[in-house]
This record gives sequence, structure tokens and C-alpha cells, in this order.
Amino acid sequence: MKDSTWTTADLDARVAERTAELVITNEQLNNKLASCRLNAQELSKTAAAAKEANKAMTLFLGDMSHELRTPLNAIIGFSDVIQSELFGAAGNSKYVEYAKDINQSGIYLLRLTNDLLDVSRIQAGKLTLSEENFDLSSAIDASLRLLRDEALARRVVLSLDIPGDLPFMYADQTRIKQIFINLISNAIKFTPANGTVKIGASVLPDGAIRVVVADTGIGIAPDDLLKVYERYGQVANSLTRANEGAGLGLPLAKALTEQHGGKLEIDSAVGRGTTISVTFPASLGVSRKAVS
Amino acid sequence: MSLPSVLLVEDYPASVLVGTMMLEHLGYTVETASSGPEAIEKVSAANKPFMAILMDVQMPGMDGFEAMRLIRELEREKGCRNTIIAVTAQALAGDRERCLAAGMDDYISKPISPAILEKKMAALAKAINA
Repeated sequence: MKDSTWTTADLDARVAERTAELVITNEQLNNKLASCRLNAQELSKTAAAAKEANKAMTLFLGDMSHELRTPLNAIIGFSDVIQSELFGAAGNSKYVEYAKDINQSGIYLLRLTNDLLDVSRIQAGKLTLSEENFDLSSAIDASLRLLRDEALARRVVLSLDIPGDLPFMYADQTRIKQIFINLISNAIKFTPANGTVKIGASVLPDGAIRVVVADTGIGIAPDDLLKVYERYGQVANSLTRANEGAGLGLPLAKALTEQHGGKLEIDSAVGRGTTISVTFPASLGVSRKAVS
Repeated sequence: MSLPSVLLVEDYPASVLVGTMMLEHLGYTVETASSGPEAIEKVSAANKPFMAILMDVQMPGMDGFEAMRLIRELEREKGCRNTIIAVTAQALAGDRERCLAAGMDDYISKPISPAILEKKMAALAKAINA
């Protein structure tokens, strides 16, 4: 029996000891909980502040791009009137040439401004697609037509390889064209005279639709290639500066492709050229028969 | 017979000038308004509907949509109908639907291309004469 008494006392002592330990642990946990709560509060404050800042930035960009576009539209309009000699001859053919330059520069700036606004929209999650059925090969043709003068001026050959039975697409036509225009325009810009920009399109075995823009241009260094894959922030900071005038075209094309559930891939080597392919899911394809 | 008249609603003076130049060159009589309220005044004072009202969507104060709604109300009182064409800087597909859904008759994106303007105006002029 002595043993048992001893055991009870021993147990009591151990219970007391454990209780004391638990009280300490509990206290520690409470402290941790309090500091976690504080951290969470801080974090949600920071997140709210960041969200506000982002919203303000988007608003600012929206306002700014309106302010930028208003005079640009007038510049483009006036230079259009002069280059087309709407009210009679400009007097000297050089003036017509200058007006054309003003017009093209204005259009370029406008495109950049629109790209900027789009990037801010995408970052704010405010870009919505407006889908419809459209002819993919016509969309590619239309995009090419817009850039023919640019290619001609830079003596870059545009070559087109599109099968006749390319399907229709159910997508945001304006945005899809914007992807093509950005990719082709970049390809032209980075290809030296007498180089070639090839535009191809095909349907993969699984029905996915792929459009490829390949140039024989200066290529992208591996380090910069990584940057291209990053979000616009970093790209806008470094890549565009390194490649002065590259604009937001590539990251924007990538974002717009992804918005459609597609994928943009770049294969490039310095001095050899760049091949960019955009692949859209099979679900966006619409057979020609279904449309007609 | 007087030339078909177009009301150009635009707040930016340089754009008013470009638009007026293009429209007058195409042979139309142009009236201008630099704000929504001014446009409403012009519509209210006119004794017949304009062949077209080119309505800038983004204007300080009353925007183009609001001005259009008020003009539509005026039309109900007067028993006439103007063709109101939204002019917007956002050349996006979604905007077109937004403009038409709001009650605009058509949509032109900025910068106004002389060729597109000519086509749209010619179609309207033809409809009037038919």
C-alpha cells in the first residue's frame, strides 16, 4: 500500500508539474496568437494600402491616357488632312512626306498609349473580353495589312503561310488582332533590312490553334528572355529600356493570349532571330461549316 | 435645297477644327458644340433633325452618353429623331456594344479616319434623299 500512496503523491506532483508546464505553454501560445493577430492586422492593412495604391495608379493611367490621346488624335487628324492634301496641294512634296511622318509617329504613340492603358487594365483585373465568331485568316490578313508600310519602309519581307482551311475562332477579335499586330510589329522592328518575318498558322492534332511569328532579327539574349516571361512591371522597367522602343507589345500579347486561355512561347537566339508562337485552346476553334 | 447638316460635339478645340475641316470638305454644313449642354441647346433650337450628331463620349462635366439620353428625351417631345454617332477614343470591341446598347445609333473610333467618316456620312445622306 505504501507503494500506492507514494505513487499517488508522485502522480500529484507530476500533474502539478505538467499543469505548470502547460500554463507556460498556453501563455506562450497566447502570446504567439496575439502577435500573429497583430501581424495579420498589419498585413491586411498593407494589403489594403497596396490595393488602394494600385487602384489609384489604374485611375491615374486611365486619366493620363485620355489626356495623352486627345491631342494625339488631333495631331493624327491634321497630319492626315495634310498628307492627303485634302484642301489642295501642300506646295512642296517634302511637306507631304513630313506630314506622313508626323501621322505615323502619332499613330505609333497612340498605339503605345493604348497598350499602356491595357496593361493597367489587365493589372487591375479590369480587362473583359467580348467574344464573337470570326475568320482567323482574315484577322491575320487585316493585322498584316496595317503593318505592310512599316515593313516596306524597313525593307523587311513579310511572308505568309496560312492553310486555306484555317478554322474560325470564338474569341475577342480586337484583342486577337492586337496580339498579332504587337508580335508582327516587334518582329519587323528587330529585323534588319533584307530580313524576313514569317507568319504561319496551323491547327495542332489536338485541335489547338497555333499562330507563329518568326523573324530573322537580332534575337533576345537568354537573360532578357527570362524577363519577357515575368510580369509587366519588371519587363517595363528593364526590357523596354534595353530594347528602346520595344514598348509593352510582348508582355501585352502574352497577357492577352493568356486571357484567352492560350499560351505564348518564345524561342530565340541572339543573331539568329526570334520565333514566337501563340497557341489557343481547341475550345476556341469553330469549324468553318458551323459558321457558314 | 440646303446641305445636310452635322452637329459635331467635341470639347477639344483642335479636334473640333479637324472634324469640321473633314466634314465641310465632304460637303456638309457643320455646327459645333463644345459640351453636352451646348449640344442639347443646339438640338432644341434646330427646326429639323441633324443628319448626324457626332458625339464625343468623354467630355468634362456631362459626358456624351448623358447628353445623348437628354437629346433622346427632347426628340420624344419634338417627335423627331437624330442619328447620334458616338465618337470614342477607346477603340475596343466592347465599347461598340456599350454605345449601341446605351442608345447610340453608331460608333466611330478616334482618331476619325477621313475614309470612314466619308462612308458613314454618305450612307446617311443617301438615306435622307431616298
